[in-house]
Amino acid sequence: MKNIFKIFLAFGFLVFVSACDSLDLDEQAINPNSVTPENAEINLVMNNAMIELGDFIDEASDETMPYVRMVALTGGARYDNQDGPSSFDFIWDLAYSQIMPDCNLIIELADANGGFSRHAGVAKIIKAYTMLTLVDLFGDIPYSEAFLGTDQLNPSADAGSNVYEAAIGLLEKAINDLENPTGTITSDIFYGGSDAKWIKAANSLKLKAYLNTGNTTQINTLIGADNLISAEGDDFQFQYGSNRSTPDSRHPYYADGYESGGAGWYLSNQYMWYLFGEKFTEDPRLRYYFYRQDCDETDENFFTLDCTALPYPTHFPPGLPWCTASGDYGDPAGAYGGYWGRDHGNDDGIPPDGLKRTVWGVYPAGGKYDDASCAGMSNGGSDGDGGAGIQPMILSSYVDFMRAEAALTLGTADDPAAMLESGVRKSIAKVMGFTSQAGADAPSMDDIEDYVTEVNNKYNAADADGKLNLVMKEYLIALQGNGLEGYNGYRRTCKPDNLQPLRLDDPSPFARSFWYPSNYVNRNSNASQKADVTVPVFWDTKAPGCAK
Amino acid sequence: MKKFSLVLLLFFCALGTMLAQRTITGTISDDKGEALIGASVVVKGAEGVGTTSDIDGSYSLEVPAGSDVLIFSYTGYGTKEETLGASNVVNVALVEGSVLGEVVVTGFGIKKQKKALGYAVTTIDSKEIELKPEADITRVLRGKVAGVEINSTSGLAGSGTNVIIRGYSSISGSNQPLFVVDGVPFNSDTNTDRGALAGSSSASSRFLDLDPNNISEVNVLKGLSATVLYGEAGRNGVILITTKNGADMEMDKKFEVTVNQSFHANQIASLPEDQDLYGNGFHNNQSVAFSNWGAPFDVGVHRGAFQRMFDRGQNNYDISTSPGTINHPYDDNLEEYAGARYDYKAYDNLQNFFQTGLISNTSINVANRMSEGTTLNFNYGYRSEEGFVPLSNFNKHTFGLGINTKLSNGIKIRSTFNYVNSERVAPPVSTSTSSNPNDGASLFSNVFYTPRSVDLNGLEWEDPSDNSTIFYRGSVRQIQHPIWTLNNTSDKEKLARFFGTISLSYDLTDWLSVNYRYGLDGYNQRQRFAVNKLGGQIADGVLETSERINFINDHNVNLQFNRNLTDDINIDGVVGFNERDDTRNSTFANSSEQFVFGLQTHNNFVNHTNSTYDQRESLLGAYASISFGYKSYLYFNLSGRNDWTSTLEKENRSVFYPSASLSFVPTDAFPEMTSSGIIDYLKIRVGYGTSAGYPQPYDTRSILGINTREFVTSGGSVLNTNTVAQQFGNINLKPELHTELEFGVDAKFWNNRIALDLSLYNKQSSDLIIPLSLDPSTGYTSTTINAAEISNKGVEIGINVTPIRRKDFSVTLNGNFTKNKNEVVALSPGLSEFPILELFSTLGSWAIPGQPYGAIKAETIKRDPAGNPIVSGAGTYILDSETGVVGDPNPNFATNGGLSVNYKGFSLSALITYVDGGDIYATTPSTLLARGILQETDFDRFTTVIAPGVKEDGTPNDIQITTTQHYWSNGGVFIDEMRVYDGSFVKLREVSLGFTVPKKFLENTPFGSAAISFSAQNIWFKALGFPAGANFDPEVLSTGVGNARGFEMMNVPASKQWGGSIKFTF
Repeated sequence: MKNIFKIFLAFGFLVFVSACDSLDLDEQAINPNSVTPENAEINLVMNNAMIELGDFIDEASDETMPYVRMVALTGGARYDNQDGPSSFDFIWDLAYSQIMPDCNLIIELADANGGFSRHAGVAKIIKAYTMLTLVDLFGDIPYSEAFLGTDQLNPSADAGSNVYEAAIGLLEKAINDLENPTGTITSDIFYGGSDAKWIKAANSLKLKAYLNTGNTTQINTLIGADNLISAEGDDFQFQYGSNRSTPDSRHPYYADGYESGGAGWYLSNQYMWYLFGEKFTEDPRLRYYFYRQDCDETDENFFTLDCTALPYPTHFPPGLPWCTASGDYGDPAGAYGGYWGRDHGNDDGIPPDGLKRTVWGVYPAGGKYDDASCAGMSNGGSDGDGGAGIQPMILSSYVDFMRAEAALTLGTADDPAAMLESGVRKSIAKVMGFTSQAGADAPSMDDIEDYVTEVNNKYNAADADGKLNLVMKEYLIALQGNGLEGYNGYRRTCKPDNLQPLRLDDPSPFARSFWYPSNYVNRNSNASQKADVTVPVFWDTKAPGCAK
Repeated sequence: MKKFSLVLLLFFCALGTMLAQRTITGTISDDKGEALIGASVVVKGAEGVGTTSDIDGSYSLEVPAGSDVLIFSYTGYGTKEETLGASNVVNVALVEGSVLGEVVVTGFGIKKQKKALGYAVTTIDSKEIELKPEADITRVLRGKVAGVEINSTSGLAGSGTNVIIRGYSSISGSNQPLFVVDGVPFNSDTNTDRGALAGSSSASSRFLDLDPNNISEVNVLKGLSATVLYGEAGRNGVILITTKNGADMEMDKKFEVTVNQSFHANQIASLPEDQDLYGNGFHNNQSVAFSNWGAPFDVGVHRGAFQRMFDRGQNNYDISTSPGTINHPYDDNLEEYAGARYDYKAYDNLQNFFQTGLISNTSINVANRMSEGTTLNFNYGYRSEEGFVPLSNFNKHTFGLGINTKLSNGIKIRSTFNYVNSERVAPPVSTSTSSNPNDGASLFSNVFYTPRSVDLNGLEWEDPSDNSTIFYRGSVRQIQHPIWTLNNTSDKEKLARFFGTISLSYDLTDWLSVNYRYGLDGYNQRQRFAVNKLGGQIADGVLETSERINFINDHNVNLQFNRNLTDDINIDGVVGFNERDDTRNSTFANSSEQFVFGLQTHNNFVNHTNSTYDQRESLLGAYASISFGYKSYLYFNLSGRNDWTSTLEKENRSVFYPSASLSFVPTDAFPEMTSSGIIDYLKIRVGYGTSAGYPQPYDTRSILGINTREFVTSGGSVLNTNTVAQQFGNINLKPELHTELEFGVDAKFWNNRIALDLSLYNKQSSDLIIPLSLDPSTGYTSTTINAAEISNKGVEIGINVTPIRRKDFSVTLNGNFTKNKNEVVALSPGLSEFPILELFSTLGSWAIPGQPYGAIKAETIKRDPAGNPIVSGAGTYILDSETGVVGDPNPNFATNGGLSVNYKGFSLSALITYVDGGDIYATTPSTLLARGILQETDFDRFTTVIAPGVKEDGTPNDIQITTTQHYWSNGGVFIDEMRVYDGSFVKLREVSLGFTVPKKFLENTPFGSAAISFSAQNIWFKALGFPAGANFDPEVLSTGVGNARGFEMMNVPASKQWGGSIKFTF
């Protein structure tokens, strides 16, 4: 009897002791792996919002560049299948569930605690820029019902014009915050804490928005106030680093062409031809924009470059590039050959040309300056500037081009010729100042003057339509790395007008907005997909068929 | 403690006694005098004392004194009780076709008469489990239990297995059944470091740690009325496993050693049949494309054209020799091949790439009844398995010890101790959609579509100058040589596990006992995924290691009672308390950018990230169950359990779930029913059960996103960040609820020659928790909500027919049929559908009201209102801008047929499976078709094709395109819809032939018994909806163990095994 008692007492004790701590279920509901949102630190959230903005504009550029021939359109042979709805999930996710909630949190923390108006101002600029961009890409988008979590699982879309209005309102509030600055942003990777520059950026974003909507009065007000991005030091851009991994902080174009396995992007024959072949004078930016891995495409065959065996398409207007940008001008000696991209809408499979096709150069990707060394760049990220490039957002040259355009199309108070020349000069100066690598064949001051003179002469010789065409072409050239403003400009003006048609002789209408993302259409019961990609955004009032 | 004291007090009321014993011998025969082999004899009232008759029908049994009744039984025969007299010899004759008194194990190991149960239980005994080639107990059970669907993830040695009982019901939670080994919960997780796209299909399921040769019996509890006592963990059914160490020892010898040894060959089961006419290239032109739409090996009438192209340098295929030649693939890359030519012909690639692996399995069991009341069982198993993929293998050691004893004071102590140690090496198996891996590294993404004219096994795989991979596409490492992959990539796993139980029980009176059981299950699993640099898939190399330490501590204390209230009314039941505590602690280290080639240590990599994840989940449960029996033909049971969990907030933490069941045996109530000789036994049962499901821990509260080293600026500053987490914590989350109504009939006819077991069930699951993917415009991308309602209705039929039953010769046919109709009934308002698993935003497994669980949604071809596909001006199909449902992955029904023939000592058995329906999105066959590899593409490729459909203007399509373009652009590589196949298949799952050496031959040997058998698994199958050349076995799951099904994405194919084994005892 005694033994029974002993044994059960012993085990009873064990149960009691071991069960004790698991009986406290509340204690165990606490997640040991993380902290709660109340612990957020405003400067650390600011860091995230700034990094995300870089990712966002990069992604917006990636999606838009193929349409305006800044890179080759290779995802499909037509505009409506280049990108399916799911292609835009990433940017939607980034904008709505990362950048803007982080901006909202910053604004909330600033409002709640006081003394952080700098943070609030910058967060409002980032948020407004995101909103404007989303409208530019998609049209009507959720805003007034957004960011409510489970309280509104299916936010309805607001009219694009209303979102634009709200964004401009935010920019004005941001300027107000920054004019009365409090607090210090510990790591302002854009402007190093300069309120004046942030205000210029906000004004320049307003300029861009008003140019899209064609608001002459407001643009004249902005010109009059003279507080726009006007010098290289004001440039609104995201500066990448050169850290290769953990984390990869390099320009994404760099990782694409300079790691291993060959290039991923196909650059655009059209765009390279604008710099290389269209003008009498070679563009001084040519060697900075593009690096040729193989300067002689004349020894290729059907497998590596199948278009060499194909005739110039009959539906192409004469005088456009075909097959490669240097095709008709190729110099087997190597100095001028090898501008090897793809034609518009060439969705063929991928031949083993990864070490042959032209890759991104030093601007803006932080790659290698083209010194005609003509070598494969898949060397584990060891070439050039190591990816320490920029994502241009609004540069001083862009502001000049926009003002030139506005003067021509809206009659605003600027001299378009002066603005054009100023834009070209600022762009060339920025690009050429971009690297210490420039060596062989770097353009001289004379080369720059020759180029500017050719542009000026062409401008002076052109009729009104030709003048706008030239402004938009020079703007497009200056935009390297920023497809978003190229896509906006092309939809505003349908210029430049000598862009390569789709390779396929197919009357596929131009995409004047993108498919709504699948993570929006599929998960939101108040969202419905647009009929097709020809649906324009609210400010795009051009006739169908204008943009091609 | 108060209650405990009361319980303990009760022990003072009783004492046990121990007396001497005697040996009874005799023979068991049928009413015609023929000996019955394997009939059972047990001592009434002495638990665990019993034996079975040998080949001559004789038995010998030591009967404890004080026991004086023996119970004789045999399947298909009436049970007979004999009271012992003075004689030590008892011969009995059993009468065929009388009512059975089968006893089965139910919840918490409580044994009950089968006829008293109001729900279905399926029992599989050790004979059907041991000596099989599979290491995984669940794969051995495949096809043997109606209502249980068992799917291997791949044919890789030790890969995981998906087990689903009565359909999928939960969306975010696990649908895998609870494993209970020797009475305590057993962790059966499938732990993987990689997601569904990155190769989770190779992860092992932790029931792999059980040795099938050490299993005495498996009981499958399918319905909720059967599993209610197990709490929420039992909501998906319970697989009760009794090991030989945990079993009541039945033996007629004091000391017995059993040795099993088997050898099996392990081979790839599905090797595609390739066409041999065309080689590498595109548009009938030879080139180093990924595809095989190149020039024909015999150019035939096109000779002139090829010659001209060669002469013009547009083609390097020189047809002037036979076979023709092309530039050597390494022409530009390895100096020794500069200018070399290469035969352009079909090479035998895959046949020679895979190997025949050897599986060796050794198992030793030692059983000993030490003294009165004490038994000891010990076993050791060793398995060594080579995969059919070179360099892959699996080795496992299992040790087990079971000791049962009854102390002189009447306390019974039972204990088991098991230790398992295993190691696995697997190739990388990321999923793939058409060529390279989707995420990470994979052998199978590249090997199957190797063009016919590329000599996979003959071409060097490594550049001797730097160890980089080299393959037919030159130095750009766009395709990694599969042999380089084998030699430079590995996925290793090491496991050490202990699991055991200690239980005490004490009979307070002859009708009441108190029981306590403690179970401990702990393991340490270490995984190590290493890829050397200089490959094409992960160019810089990676090393990922993880360690998981998981424990289950389970305490269970209860009172069990069983009492006759009157002569007619019996009550029995249990009241108890259970506490289960699961802890999971994991550490992950990830390094990238290898420094020195080949060295796989973390310090030889440039970048490092690491993380830990800790999780603890506690569950408290109080339960009670009471059964009333009336005149042994009417039984009624009421049970209930209340659980409290740590994974929900206080308000929603507690949930009570009851069950009730009724069993009625008309043949006992009205014995005259059996007089016609047609029906021998009939039982009608009905049961109602409920259960709950809890979410994973920590879903109810939002967290702050924290990232260190998010960005390094050009100036070298490191930026750390805080961010709003994309997951929205739902504080109002509630448990899932499941209810099930089950109806069943068990019947036996014609002298028990036909047995039928039918179950119908209707399981409704509501408040199902879903990880809701949100439109990011809500500010978040996901949350968890109670949102779905799912129903599973089904039929399970088991049938057993014995057309011939003689002493030396019997033939038994058995079959089972399973049909489960699954439907997503409703979603919460505002939700039209949501993904169960989103592989890509355009491809996944979805829950859509009105559709079955896991409907496959994918990109579809744009169609006109009449359903005709629309082609573009290029003559190829246009994709619809929205995805659509393209398949139902749930089979319509599954049926298995087994044959078992016994003739003297010989036995032959076979198991055939037919599964009807169940769509599969399969990228292997569709890629091989689109890339011109399969024998289906050996037509004349110089013709043109007009894709069936209409043009955009609505007129019939008349645009001619090349065969290459049709198969390439209009096939599955670009159009998901074209990759969906009907998964119906027929399969010869298992065949075995055995021979048991008759006792008389062993009389003068030390052996007590000896048997030899030959067996084979998965040796023939046919997937009816697939291209025949794919030779595809659809029983694979690329997404691994989980809730998505119907995806094959260049998975490791299934395996087949064949070989033999011997078993002897001495």
